[in-house]
Amino acid sequence: MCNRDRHDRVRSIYCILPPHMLKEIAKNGTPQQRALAIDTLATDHTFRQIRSVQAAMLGPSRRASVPAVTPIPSAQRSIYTANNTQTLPGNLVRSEGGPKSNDESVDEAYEGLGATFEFYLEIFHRNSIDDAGMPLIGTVHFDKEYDNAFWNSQQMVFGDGDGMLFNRFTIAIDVIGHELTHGVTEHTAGLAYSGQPGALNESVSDVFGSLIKQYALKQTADKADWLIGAGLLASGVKGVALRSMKEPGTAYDDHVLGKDPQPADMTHYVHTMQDNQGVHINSGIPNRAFCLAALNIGGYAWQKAGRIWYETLNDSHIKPNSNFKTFAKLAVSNANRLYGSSSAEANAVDNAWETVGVL
Amino acid sequence: MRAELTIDGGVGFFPGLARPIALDESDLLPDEREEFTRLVSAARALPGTAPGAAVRAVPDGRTYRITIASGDGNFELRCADAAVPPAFSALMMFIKQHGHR
Repeated sequence: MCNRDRHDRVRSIYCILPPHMLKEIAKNGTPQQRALAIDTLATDHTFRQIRSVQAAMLGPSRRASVPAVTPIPSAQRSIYTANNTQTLPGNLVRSEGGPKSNDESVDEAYEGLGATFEFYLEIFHRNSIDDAGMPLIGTVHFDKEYDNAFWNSQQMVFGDGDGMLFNRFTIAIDVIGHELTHGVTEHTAGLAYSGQPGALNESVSDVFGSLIKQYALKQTADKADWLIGAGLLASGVKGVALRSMKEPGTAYDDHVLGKDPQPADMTHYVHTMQDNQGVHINSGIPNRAFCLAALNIGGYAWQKAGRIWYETLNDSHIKPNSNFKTFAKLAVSNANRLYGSSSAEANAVDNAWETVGVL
Repeated sequence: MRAELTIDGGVGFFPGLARPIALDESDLLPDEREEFTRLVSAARALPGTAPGAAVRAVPDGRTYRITIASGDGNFELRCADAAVPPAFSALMMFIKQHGHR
């Protein structure tokens, strides 16, 4: 397929299979051919987008000068400090490629944003949160003793914790990945933040937050702890993390925090008006489904289980009001498409959702 | 006068932290009671914290609700993370310091 010039150099523009051909393979090929075609389409789409944006920026008279080789996507990180106020973004402390600061919160935020960017780019060929190179901005030292972290659609915000119940919120890489993944969901499935769609939204963030941690540590599914926010609870608090994906409801039991309320299956689904109708509570059910599927499939969880979940998040049939059953059916459908309907992978996904009582 | 602060949302749901923090002025010393009254008046004057005001919460962001019961009637103040006015924040801090769950 490659075209060579008279000096035997490859004309790269002729080396790419046309998208329509890749789409046919993705639809009709063997499971392995389909997976490879999907992978190539994702990479190609990212670079086409980058070239398109560059060309638009240059204007018609300069489009011919757009280089054939596209620059490698970059996290474009900027870390600010709010100096314990609520002013955002605050004062710039560290920029992309800049040296370490003397502030561990700043450096942890920098590394966590980078690890999340790198994960999405290398595993799913996704160029930042919006797949269009969105710069990553984080503010640390937000407010005084602020026991929280959040993504406000434009940037990450981290509190220092009060030191009695919570440590600083930059300490857990999976929490950073969790928050940024809310941005990914915003740009893909758009799951509404209440009820079952909201619990799915939360679960997707826990899933990819956990995968980002596992990827950074190069852990296989059986070696991962499947805890969200391990290290975040201050010493003296009776608990190990914010949540457990493997054993929902066991992360903490403390006289101040209370007992971890997460259910592990639909029989124990919690009906409540608190917490946007239980988005952090009932996320335990889809969390456990992912963990079960990943452990059953084995190996690195991001390679197959993670891919199935990512394809489902990007599935055109997912809607902002999709419930657990819809997501589960689409996950099985995507597993069938990627690996075959009788594959070990598809069976693992199906069994996982059955075990938690959704299917 | 009695105030109740309820914090909802955040990176997780903790049953113990979801319980309101209550403060009754009868539990305060005279100068503390004066400060409490001043803080409530300042917070109440904020246009964006009334019950009908739009409070936009973001995923894992917190929302804050303060209900006040007094001889003049009851009212509620609300706001959400990254848009908490200083006067609301000051009243919240006071309730946290002097109140109890």
